[in-house]
Amino acid sequence: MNMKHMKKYLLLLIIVSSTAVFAQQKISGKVTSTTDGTPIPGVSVILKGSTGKGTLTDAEGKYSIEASPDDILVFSFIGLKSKELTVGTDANLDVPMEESLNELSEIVVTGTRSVGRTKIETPVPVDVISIDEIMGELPQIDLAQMLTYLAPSFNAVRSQGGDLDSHVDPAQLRNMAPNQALVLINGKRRHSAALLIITTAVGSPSTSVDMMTIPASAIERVEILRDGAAAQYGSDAVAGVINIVLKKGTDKLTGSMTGGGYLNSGGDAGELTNAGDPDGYNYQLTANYGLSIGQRGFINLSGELTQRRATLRPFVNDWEVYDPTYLNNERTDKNGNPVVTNPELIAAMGEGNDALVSSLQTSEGLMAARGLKPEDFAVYAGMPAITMGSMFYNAEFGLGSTTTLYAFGGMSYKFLEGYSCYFRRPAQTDRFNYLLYPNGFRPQMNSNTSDVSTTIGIKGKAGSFNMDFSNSLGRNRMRIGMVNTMNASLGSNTPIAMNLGTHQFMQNSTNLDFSRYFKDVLHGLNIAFGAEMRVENYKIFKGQEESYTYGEAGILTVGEDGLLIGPDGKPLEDGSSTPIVHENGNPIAVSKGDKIEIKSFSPNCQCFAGFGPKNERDEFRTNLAAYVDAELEITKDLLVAGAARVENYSDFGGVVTGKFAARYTIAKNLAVRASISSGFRAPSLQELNYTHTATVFVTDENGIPQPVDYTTYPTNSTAARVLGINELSEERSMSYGFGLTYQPIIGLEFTADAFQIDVNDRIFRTNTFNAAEVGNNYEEVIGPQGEAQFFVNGGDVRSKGLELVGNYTTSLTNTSQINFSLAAILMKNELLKKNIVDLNVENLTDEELVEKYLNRQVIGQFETGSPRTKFIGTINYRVKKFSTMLRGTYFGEVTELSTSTDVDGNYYDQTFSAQTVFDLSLSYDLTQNIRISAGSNNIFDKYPDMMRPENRGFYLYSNAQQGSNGAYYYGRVLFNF
Amino acid sequence: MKPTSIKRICLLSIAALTFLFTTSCEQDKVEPEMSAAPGGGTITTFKAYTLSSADANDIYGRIVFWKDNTGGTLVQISLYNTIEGDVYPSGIFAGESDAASDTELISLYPINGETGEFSTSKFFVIPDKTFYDGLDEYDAYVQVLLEDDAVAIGNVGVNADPVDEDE
Repeated sequence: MNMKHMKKYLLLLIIVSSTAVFAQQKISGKVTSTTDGTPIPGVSVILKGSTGKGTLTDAEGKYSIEASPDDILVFSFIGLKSKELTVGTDANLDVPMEESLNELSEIVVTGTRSVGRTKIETPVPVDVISIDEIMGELPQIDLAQMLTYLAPSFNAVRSQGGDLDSHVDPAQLRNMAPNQALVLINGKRRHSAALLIITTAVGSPSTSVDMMTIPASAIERVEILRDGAAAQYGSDAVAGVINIVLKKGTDKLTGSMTGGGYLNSGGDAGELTNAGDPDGYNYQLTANYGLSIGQRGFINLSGELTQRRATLRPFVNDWEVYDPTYLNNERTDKNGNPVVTNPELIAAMGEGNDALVSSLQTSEGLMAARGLKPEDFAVYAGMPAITMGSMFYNAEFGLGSTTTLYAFGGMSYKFLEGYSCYFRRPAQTDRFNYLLYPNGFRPQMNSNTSDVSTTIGIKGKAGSFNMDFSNSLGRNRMRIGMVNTMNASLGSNTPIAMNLGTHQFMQNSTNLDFSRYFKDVLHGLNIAFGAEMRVENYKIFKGQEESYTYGEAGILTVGEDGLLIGPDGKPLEDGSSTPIVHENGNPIAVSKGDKIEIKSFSPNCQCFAGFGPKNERDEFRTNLAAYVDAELEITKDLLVAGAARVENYSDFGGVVTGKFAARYTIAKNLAVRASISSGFRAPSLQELNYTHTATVFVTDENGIPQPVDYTTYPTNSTAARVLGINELSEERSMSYGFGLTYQPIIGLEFTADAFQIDVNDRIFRTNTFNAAEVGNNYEEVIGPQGEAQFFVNGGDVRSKGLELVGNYTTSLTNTSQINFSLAAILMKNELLKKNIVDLNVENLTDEELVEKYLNRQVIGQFETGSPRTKFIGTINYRVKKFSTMLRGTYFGEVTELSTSTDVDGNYYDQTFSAQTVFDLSLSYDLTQNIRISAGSNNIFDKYPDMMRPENRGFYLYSNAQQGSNGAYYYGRVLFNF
Repeated sequence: MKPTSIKRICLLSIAALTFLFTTSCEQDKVEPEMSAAPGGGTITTFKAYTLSSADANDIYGRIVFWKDNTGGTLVQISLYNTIEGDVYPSGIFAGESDAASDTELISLYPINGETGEFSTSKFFVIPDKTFYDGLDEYDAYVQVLLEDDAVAIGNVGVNADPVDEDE
């Protein structure tokens, strides 16, 4: 998408000055083309250094503006070289303007180490998104969501909750995993978040850079390189590279205040949800200021404060709230003492009120007596509550004529509390405590994330080579907690808020790069070479003991020899109020000191076990890499580029990758480009070392979710070794790209790029294996009730597709400009082959084993679990002080495959229909320094399809498209001094 | 920077701070629903008395008086060897069991033969807040009947020592 024209007319709006203007006179003139002398309409003419002063040329290329002799006028239009002219004393100022391809788009720095090329001159596709210029008109307030609605290849699912799924949004390119895209800031590798995102990443659990930790107000533009670039940048650059270029402006204070909220209509869910007042109120304050350091440098500072309140989209279900043992006061503790759960019933019986007694013996009657409704027991889903602050800096200082010291980085703090768990109903006797939660409870997970990063480097000349030496250090630390929870096995002594542990990822990269441009070799040759050393460290710190232990609230220590009976002389009862008896039906004889589990209360923190000593990790790896990169213009029309890179990882060895790309100009306005490259992705330290036991809910025959504990074991564990699971190796990829760029007329440009990316040994997570299935005494390794799953290099996959971008700008009248842009991606993910290994499993058929290894749900999530088609169409219209933006985004259909079936063996699969949502924003320049903007995301309040009844569990709606938040409205004040 | 710019920045800072204070950083909490009548929870104060078989069917067990959390008394009967399908009326009668008085002080729920417990509810409720504390002086016995014949019988209160108790 070409943003240059927008930059120009936004500049027209956001002119910066507070100086008074004296001796104004009317200046007029005509703007013409140097090529053929024709007048050019729609050229923006702005008064540099003043605010709000500007005009456009009319149909005859004529303009007039008030200005003083010392003023500078800036003339700009897409496809023309911008001009700055001092007004002087003459009232007439005619301006011939030169055509320039470079002015069509910005100079791109991603994917090339040569002198700048524009995005239509590069041999591979690059999108340039000028966040700086357009963020004021966007309903979205964080970078990942902005890019989702601006770049068709980019996607970041905002999960509605479920464990830690909503804590980091996976930033994905071309529907590949977030760790198959490389994120750079000012060209330097950005560290990923510590969290391993479990369910929302495409295909399998994955790490991702947490884009929310990068304040959008610090960003000048984002370049998205849509091509494999591992040979240039190393691991992860499989689907592409996202390079975030920070602002460099000085002596200007810009900022904004935004407030917004969601309509919360509930969509079509009716009684299945509980629509209410508008919710999810967001507030954001941003500021950016640049300071000059004399004539030699600058420091640019950005800060953001954001508060997002949670949205609530509950699923009101009909699952049993109070069971008969609760309603009839039949529960006992481990000593056989009664637990009165329905005191209302006892009071009514005491009063002899028979009608009330029978009412209170039903769930509905007791809920009514307590003033509760089914929605109080609903599963909560929705956007998490987030409070965050971030600050970034970007600085350069000239040390000499050719040497520059630079530094950039920042810090962010994010508190997030999401909907994480199913509601714990009082009917679930193994996770119930009357004293703490008489009507059940709804645990919520929170995280406190601190993210710091800094890069320091020096750029200069080393002989005839340009040299760049830098060090980047980044650390993301996430403390995970839970509130409204308990460890049922500890009884009433349990804490109700717990620290579950801390995850931390640290990365240090040292880079040394050289490049030199030989202008005499054919039509120009650029040679670059360099080396990188990277150290990574992943840590899991344990949480508080109560979060991962099994307490004794349900375990009876026998006081004296005798029978296992309660005060009533009858056998003690287990958790489900079933008497514990000998097989002949009589009470069991016990001896003093025996420890007997009477109530099998759930261990660990509900609903997410804390990370315990066995999960603690402190893993390092180092990586050394060297590359050479060349770009040669063989003729004026033919550019070829090649790169090779060798890498060595301390944990799994070496990798060599290469890339070749070419661009050929067929005509002045038409070029074709092609590339082929090999790439790889090293398994992340998180994938290699993460281990955790999660409680998963599996729907029983009555359609009620029942808890089962799943443990993810690392591939270097005993559980993996015994089963025959191999250690993880790198994913290897081959990428092919072919495309064309075309500009039929000034103001209209078009690019089309086709791609295919083959990834071998893609990492997936297996389904679970239990001891009964595996045999071979596997229960000694994972426990009799355990379910074990693993990361495996599960299969070979292919992603292919076509990306189209078109952009057209023109002036309608002499005071207005209109821009149309359309961007699209049509693609397909495909599993080519399952890489089954021979596992030591005794009691599964080959067919069952293959399904275990890579099940249809995982394959479905990879192949069709996110929209394969996405269109974004935008119209921007600007007239005088008023501007508007209308955007339509089409998310193609999504199909989720299930592993559960009905009695006839039909899978509970579901295809969610395609969705189109519209964004609208209106902006107006109130004064010279203040601009107001208001608008909406999803203005028609479109909700996606509901899940089919069998699949409704945590979510009522699919997450994969626009999500189930509905319409969002915002207002914003932008300031500029 | 010009003085006017500084002034503007100051004004802006004030506006920003006002904005922050009015929106507040506190996030809404989702609190658990604690609504329930008083008296819920585990109860541990009880006196249990033996009910012995009164005929050849060897039906025996206990009657337990629980002092609940509101001060009322919950009566529980648990019997062995009751016969599925049979319904056994029960009651508290005046005096000692040997005297076999017909004066029924409290008519309890019938007992379900399948479970050996009250058929209506696990507990029979005596709302009188003084009952439990006066239990040691209570001159009574308990009778479980089948039709009109006693099948299990036992003294309570002043007439017997509890087989088990917890104060």
